[in-house]
Amino acid sequence: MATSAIRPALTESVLFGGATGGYLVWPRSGLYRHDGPDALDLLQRITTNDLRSLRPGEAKRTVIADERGRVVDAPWVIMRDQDDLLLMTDAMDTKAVERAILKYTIIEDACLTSLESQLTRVKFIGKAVEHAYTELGLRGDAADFAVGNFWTVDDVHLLISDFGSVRSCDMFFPTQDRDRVLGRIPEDYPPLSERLFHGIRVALGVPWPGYELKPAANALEAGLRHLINFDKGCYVGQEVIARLDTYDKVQRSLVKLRCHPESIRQDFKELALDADVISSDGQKVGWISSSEVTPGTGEWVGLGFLRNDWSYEGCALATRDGILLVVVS
Amino acid sequence: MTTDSQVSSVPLNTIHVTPRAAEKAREFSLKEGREQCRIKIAVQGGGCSGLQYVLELVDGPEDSDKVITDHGIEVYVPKRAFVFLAGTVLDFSDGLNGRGFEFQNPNAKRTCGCGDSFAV
Repeated sequence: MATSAIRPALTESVLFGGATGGYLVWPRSGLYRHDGPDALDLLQRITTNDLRSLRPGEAKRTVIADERGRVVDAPWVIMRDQDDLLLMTDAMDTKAVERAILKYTIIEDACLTSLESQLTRVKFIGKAVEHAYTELGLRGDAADFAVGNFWTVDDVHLLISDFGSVRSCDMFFPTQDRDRVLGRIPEDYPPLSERLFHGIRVALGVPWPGYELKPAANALEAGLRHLINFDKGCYVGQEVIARLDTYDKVQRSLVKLRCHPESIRQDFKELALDADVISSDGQKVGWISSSEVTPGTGEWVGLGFLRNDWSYEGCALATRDGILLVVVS
Repeated sequence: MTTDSQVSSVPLNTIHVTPRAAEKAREFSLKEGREQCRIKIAVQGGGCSGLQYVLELVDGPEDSDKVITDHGIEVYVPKRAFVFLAGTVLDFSDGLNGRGFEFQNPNAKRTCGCGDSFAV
């Protein structure tokens, strides 16, 4: 497939339309308090990452998988104190985390409480992260920017999260302060619509709950290997995940796909979610999990799961309605 | 060895401890200096299949525990865990291939390879 057009690099300036960052007010805060003497131990036993090393003020991302190793969600676990944790999920269906944890809470002395009605959440991306630091009176030096750092200052929480190659953080504040906090964000950092946010996310290749992170894929297929500790012992789904890894049985990979511009323009087609991806001989080799127009370039880009034989860079594929695709990473 | 027919014959309102498991539990209890053998059997979240067994020597029951006496030992089961354990046989197998204490749980639809966890 010819891919000769020169594309601008996905710098922050391109992604944010000339700005250097932006922010998204989330429709849900996705924050839970999980406290009690057994709270950390329970999460250690049911999720993929090793959480025992967490210290107050630190956060770690982990995967909640089902018994078959398939992804339920990949929340952040934030330690405020030894028996006092916060859980942050990016999922629109926050109940998935809630259901999974309550399902496994039997004799444990641990309590899960939604903070949905109390807190508003804003995600800052790119240089806008620096504004969030200023709001909390932090220095904003390199050490502060480490992924997993967490602060609480005057009822405002700040978590440094990862978002592909771009800096990001999540700020939580009491909902009654919403107008005041949003009013202080400099105009240099525009508010992002959800569509624009997902456009940036897909361009950066970031898997997301409800799109890539759902039970259609296991944790290894979904590119979450960095959130799995293979030495920690048992957790829910461990037997399947360990076997897939040991015997090299992971069948699919999450890849970024670029649409051939002409095949999109011809019929004003859009790259549909869950569309089958087919090879040149017509066999289904995967599906589209996210698709958006990349801000700044106007290109349709998708994320998708492809069988390993077709997931190499440059592989030419198509959807059933004739949109030509090429694997870019 | 407890057979399948033994498991299915255990009433669902109790937990059965085989003579061999009771004997081993008494041994461990004496090693810890406990005159009376009292064990707690429970279920907690975790393990490959989602639920894992808890077996420990304790001093006595908690308020919410169901108390069962079998072959001379007292077994305490938290009521919230009993729903996953009703009808279970606690056995013990030793020898080179033995797995120590074993749970034969009629509620378990699936168990992991090591037998420590199960799904219902």
